[in-house]
Amino acid sequence: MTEMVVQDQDSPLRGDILEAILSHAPLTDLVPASRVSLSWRRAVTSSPSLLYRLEPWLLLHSTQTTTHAYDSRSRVWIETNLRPPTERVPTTALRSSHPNLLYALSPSRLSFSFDPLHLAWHHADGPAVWRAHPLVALVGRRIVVAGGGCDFEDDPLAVEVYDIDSREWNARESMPAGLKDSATSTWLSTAVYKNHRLFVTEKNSGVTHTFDPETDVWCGPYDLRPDPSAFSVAIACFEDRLILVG
Amino acid sequence: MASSIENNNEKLTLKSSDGEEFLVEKHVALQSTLLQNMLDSDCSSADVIPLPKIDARTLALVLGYCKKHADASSSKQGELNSFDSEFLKDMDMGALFNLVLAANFMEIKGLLDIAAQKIADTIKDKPHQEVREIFHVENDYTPEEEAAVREENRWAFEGFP
Repeated sequence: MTEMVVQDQDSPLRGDILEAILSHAPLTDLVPASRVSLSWRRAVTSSPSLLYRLEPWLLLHSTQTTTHAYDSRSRVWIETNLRPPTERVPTTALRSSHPNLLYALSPSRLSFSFDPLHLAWHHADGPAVWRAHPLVALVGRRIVVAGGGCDFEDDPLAVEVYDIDSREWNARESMPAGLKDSATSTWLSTAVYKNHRLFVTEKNSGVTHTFDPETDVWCGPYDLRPDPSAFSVAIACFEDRLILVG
Repeated sequence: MASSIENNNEKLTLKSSDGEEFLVEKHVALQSTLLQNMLDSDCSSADVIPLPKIDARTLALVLGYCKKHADASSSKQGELNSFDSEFLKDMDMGALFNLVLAANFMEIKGLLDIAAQKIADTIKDKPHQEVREIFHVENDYTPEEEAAVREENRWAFEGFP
């Protein structure tokens, strides 16, 4: 083997062959592979067959001490060190919100992160109304916190919006009265449409309202179910389509 | 003369880099896109097809793979899968390299995929120094370049000193 390689002047693994092999390697192994040599780095960084096959990672943040990423291209779970800053973000309170918001909400603080790997964390004071299981959604550059109010004197439908750029909380129009008995994330499913409109669907009834934090207007109710017998409904948005599952 | 042409249609002769000749049934040879194209464009009128990059040992392995896959019906996918994994088992890295090169040259996608996968599996979880040793790759990075690459991917290198 060694002789063959020496005769060949350098490693036989070049060009197409190297790319063919690297396209079968788990994504995480491409990082050490790019340090092997210049030609390996070229194969990793310039190979269309590697880049076209990139797929998004599924990140699983557990309340324990680890975060796992699933790379569907290489079908492996990777233990990552992509941890929220645990000294400031209580992992027991960690929640996720579609599409890519990770947050921890306590009475005194909202910590959140929305970059793909959650490397950057933002910290803000908590909302004025104390809530349990509110809806939390990232709509454009605003974080909408709705419902979940649980103190006797508080409005259970209260809505507050945190503006990421001005770093200010503002009270907004409360959720429609029809959601009075279901205004928590347990009973409602949310989707963010084109970064400007929040869709809120009651899981049991399929009744949907929308909220535009820019204009502070709630609209609805709508029934988006094609089949009215559908129950246990969830809503999501993918690119510019709404997806309703029941 | 007529019998010779008929014969050519059913079998062809491949010649390895070290001069050994292999008589191959046509449906087996069709596993290779290279040979298929040659047959389609009628280049096969030559009595012997030389494969100057592939030695006899490798060619025998390649043809063994082709025969199995040509003969198995599509309903026996499970059997083929276990044949594939058995086929590469215990194969040393040199033989694997030769197999990948041959599969790439002869355009046998299935074989290229399984051999490339097998080699990729050996890279898995290994630091770059070890990969260099396994594949006899010369490190042509300057120390400055290497430091730059390291810095660029620092987030991923923790655990790989």
